[in-house]
Amino acid sequence: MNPLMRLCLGVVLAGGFMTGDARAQSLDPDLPVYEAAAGVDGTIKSIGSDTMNNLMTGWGDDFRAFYPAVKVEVEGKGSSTAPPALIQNQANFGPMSRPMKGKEIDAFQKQFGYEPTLLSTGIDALAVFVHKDCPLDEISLDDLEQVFSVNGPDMTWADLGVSDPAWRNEPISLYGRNSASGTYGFFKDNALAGSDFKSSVKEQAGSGGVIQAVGNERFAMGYSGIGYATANVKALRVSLDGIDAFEPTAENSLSGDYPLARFLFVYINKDPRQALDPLREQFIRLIFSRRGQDTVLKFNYIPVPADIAREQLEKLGLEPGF
Amino acid sequence: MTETGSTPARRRTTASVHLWDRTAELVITAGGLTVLGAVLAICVYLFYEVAPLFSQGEIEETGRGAVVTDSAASAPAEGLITDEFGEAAFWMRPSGAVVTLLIGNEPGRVLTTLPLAANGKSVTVWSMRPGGQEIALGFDDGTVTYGAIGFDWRVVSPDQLPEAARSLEVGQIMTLADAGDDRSPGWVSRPREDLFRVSEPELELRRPFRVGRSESPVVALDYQVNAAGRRVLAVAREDRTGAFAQIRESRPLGGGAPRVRTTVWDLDLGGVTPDSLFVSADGADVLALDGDGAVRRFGTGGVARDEAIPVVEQRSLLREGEELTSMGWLLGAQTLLVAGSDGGGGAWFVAPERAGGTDGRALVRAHPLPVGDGAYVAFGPAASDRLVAGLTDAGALLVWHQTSDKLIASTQTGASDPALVALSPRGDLVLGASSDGGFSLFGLEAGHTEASFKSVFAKVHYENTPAPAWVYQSSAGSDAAEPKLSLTPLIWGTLKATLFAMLFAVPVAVLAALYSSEFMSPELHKVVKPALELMASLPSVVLGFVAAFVVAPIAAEHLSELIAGAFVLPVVAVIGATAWQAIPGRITRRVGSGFRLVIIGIAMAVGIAASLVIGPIGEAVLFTPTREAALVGAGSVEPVADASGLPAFTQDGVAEEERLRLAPLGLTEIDGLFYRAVEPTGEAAAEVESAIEAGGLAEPSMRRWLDGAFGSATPGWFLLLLAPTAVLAVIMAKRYASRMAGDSLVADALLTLGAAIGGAGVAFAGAWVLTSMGLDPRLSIIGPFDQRNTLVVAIIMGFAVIPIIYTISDDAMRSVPESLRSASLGAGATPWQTAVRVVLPVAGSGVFSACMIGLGRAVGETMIVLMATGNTPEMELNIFSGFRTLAANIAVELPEAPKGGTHYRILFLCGLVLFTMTFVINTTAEAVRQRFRKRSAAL
Repeated sequence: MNPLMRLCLGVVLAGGFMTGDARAQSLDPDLPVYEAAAGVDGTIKSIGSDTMNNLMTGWGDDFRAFYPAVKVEVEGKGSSTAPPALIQNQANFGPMSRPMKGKEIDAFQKQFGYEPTLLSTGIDALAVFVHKDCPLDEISLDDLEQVFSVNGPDMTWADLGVSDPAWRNEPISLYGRNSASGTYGFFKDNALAGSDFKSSVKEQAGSGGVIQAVGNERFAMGYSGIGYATANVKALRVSLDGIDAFEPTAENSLSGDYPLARFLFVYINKDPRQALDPLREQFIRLIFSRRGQDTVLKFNYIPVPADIAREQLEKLGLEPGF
Repeated sequence: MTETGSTPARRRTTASVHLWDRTAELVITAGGLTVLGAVLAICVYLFYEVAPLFSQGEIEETGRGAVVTDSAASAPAEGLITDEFGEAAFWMRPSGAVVTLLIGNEPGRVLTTLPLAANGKSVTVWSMRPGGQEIALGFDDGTVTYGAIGFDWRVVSPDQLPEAARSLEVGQIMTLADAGDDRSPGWVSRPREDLFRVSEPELELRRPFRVGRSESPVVALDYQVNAAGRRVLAVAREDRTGAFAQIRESRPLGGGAPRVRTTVWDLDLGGVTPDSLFVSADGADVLALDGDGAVRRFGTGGVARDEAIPVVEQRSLLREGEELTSMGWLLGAQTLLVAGSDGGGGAWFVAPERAGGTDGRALVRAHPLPVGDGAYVAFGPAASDRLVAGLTDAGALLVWHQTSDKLIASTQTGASDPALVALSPRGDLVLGASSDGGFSLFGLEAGHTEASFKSVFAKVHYENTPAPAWVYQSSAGSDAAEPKLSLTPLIWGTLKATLFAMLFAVPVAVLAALYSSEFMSPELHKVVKPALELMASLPSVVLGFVAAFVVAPIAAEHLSELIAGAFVLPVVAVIGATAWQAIPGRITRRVGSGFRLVIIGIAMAVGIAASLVIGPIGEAVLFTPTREAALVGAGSVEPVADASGLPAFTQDGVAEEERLRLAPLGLTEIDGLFYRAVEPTGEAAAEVESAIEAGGLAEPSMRRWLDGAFGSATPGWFLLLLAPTAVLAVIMAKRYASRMAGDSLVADALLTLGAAIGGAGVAFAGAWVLTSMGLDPRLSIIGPFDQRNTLVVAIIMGFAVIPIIYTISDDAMRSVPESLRSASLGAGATPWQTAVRVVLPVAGSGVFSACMIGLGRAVGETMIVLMATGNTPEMELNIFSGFRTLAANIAVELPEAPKGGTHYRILFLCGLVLFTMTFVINTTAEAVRQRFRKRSAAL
């Protein structure tokens, strides 16, 4: 972990926000301990999701602890950058925070004849953030759609049931991600039921940018991965039906109670006719080991249970061994 | 070359000089040509990348055959679903899904039949999602089911195949049964030398379940899934009852069984069973269609659990006397394609419309269908975009994109009795079939279906929107979203940013150049100019960063002071200049220009201080909410009992643009009902007071006025009119009444002051007149306030272009011959008159070029707008809202655009438009400059 990253993480931890909950969820004891193998060499090149940028870097650092000769390059401009990179062989890992669209899979298939392989490497609770002083604590999916969707009216905080007079008549200032990001697509599908965003939603190039903007503006609301939370913002509880609202915690995400939880995917180009090369095989084994999933925890995401980890390895024709 | 005559031999130019001369000439010519060539090449390349966007697609027949049916008496197929590669298809019949081969040695060979009915039930009706992949079935006992249908395929290595299949020729297919594997109804194909693929049909249905209590046979049904995986289902039964169900399936990420939550409502069919039912994917509407095109729309919004869903709209989708020949959803199940026997029909969807159904929405015919030979008998919507294939009774096959209205390709199938058409899941194959089982397969090269001149530049009516509009929203998380590719909002944003930046930068830069070249001492000039030029070296990303995180929050916090500054600073400058004149000449002549600069600095500081004081005062005077407005804000209102007492504009509801007119009247409107502010009494009074106190509802606030929370239009108009009227009044006074003032400075100052006050009076009167005409500036140049707004960008981008404009203008003015200045001064003109009437016109061409270069820079500026705005593709004049420019758009979206795709080429089109804009600006500038030059050359 580089010093800057360490600092950022420090800030997040010092904020004390959400960390308690995420940390409380411990690793699945069935996950294997990673053991180094021989003959691993080359460059890990990852292009894709911005949400997973720190995660990929974290796994890269873990990997280099075992194989110092391996180079790791991570580029994260948005999930939509992953499919072109995989198709053009510019990357051997394509992290995405949403599944590939039909057209993206088609383009890949046209090039290679087979489809890309999807690995579910971790779980993220997509959180709706407001300023830390905001009196609002929870929101229903329907309200969320009204707030962000072009089908809803321009709203003030009173429309969400805020009675605090300092807030009730203020318009909600909206922040979101740029359209390349999987977060944008996931939120559009799951919170907006597929409808378009209001054109007044201010698009930020990174998850951190959304948090920073919301933390800077009292009447702002934005969405972003929970891993980027700081002390200046607060994550809302979200309800499916307007009755039972759930916090974006590990427990609620795994149980399916929190409606905006999603898998963090890594796509790879695996030829079904051949075995995986040792570099990628070992990297994937590391991801699904205790160490790799501990890194998931470290960045405030949620580790996958051993069953899912096993499924992913089997998908690649690898012997899970646990 | 003056030594002619006596010298015997003219000193010859040496060969080396000639050589250098020639070389230089060559190099310069070559350099110039290279630049020209490079610009041309860029232009050509942009065109080359953009051109495919507007080209048509191609369609070509690749094979035909006939289904070898299991029994001659079997019913004809009702639907087609192809696989991804055009190798096989499902022939859907209520009795079962027949799997047929389409290519290979035996096109039309039946591989297997997957039974749809089970447990003694028989299928009475079935429906398919657009593009196939999921179907729903209705049974004769009133139950329904849904599930996935399709072909599963995988790439295998040859050693995983039966012996016989390994020697398959490229492009051929072989059934697994023929290859010796009887267990599977699948087949092997070899699309490339090194690629073997095994495909198998797949059908997975849920256990049938009941929707509601009725056990009567299902006669009409539709089923859709929205982007979030929420399923909706509508059924009509023989006993004339109907039901609508919402099914939420959520699969815990941590594993485990999916949770299914089903909610069922009754559909109020009114005792009439429709011929067919359609439910939109968002579940908002259920359409019941009859054979003559009559439709009843059921609105599910806001219906309680125990109520029946009512009819909210009734109309006909066809012309009088026509018969429905075909209908079906497009991908996303928002747009319904309808065709009539007489060539009528169109693409219909439900849009917000006040004068529509009882739910404030209405079915609108948003797009026409392309005119083909004959009436449409079948539609085949694509599974991944708004592409659709249509087959007419005359056998014509048309493929078009519904959002962009672009006809991709058309051909003649030659079928005698055309009945069905399907697009493959990838949209690259079309399968047309006749009712006797004959079929033709077409290869389709669809190209860039979403882009047409109309969709890129003109208004398009998108689903769920009230009217055609220019919208840019290029990508989405799923294929079902309609692409919105209008560049107009981006061009608008570019022009808006440039205009406001230039409005700020040009006066500042040109006046600064005028001052520094004409009035500043040379020593000081030597310091000031490089300092200003240093400003240009600030990276624009730094400026953008400062704009986003420093200027924008401060400007939002101190809006009134900022606005006050725009008025106060020029006034302070004028007062300062007048005061300077009051100081006797013997003193002013003695001090250097450095000291003058200090004085100017002091004046500016005084101006800023004055702005800080005047801002809040002005805000309090102009933008203090009335008591009524505060009460409305605190929610202390009562319903208006007698609506006839309300002003005329409220009689037929309040449109969005009329809403602002309610506030000054102490009225508010919620859901069509009017409420009036009321003074609270008793216990409520304290509560309301504390609400007003805590919310600052009675405190002056320009931001809240801009947001439309209170107040009439008058103060806004007053501020907008103040500057022009006051300046005009002062100029008029100077021109026509300055003789009255004589030489007295005091009289002159009084005259100016009087004129300015008079101007303000005129501004106020004008504001009052405009307001009483019902006009409000909050709907045009000003409006709701956003922290990341045009004003902030204009100021910061102004900073980026000021150094360029300044430095070139300054050079131009300094290069005006000293003789002209001397002549002017000698003829008795003051230095100011000389500067404005002699120097500025002569240097005009240079100053103009400076402005144009600044403009070119502003048009293409990327980082500042990228960082300082929210990149919101809005089309508003409002200076307090954001925008998205062409340049920022390219920077934001290029990494996500797959090379060669529509989105990628659209971004190149952005580049081409930008290129054209700068080209036009620069060419115009050059033409204008040449004219200026001719004029000044004549001097």
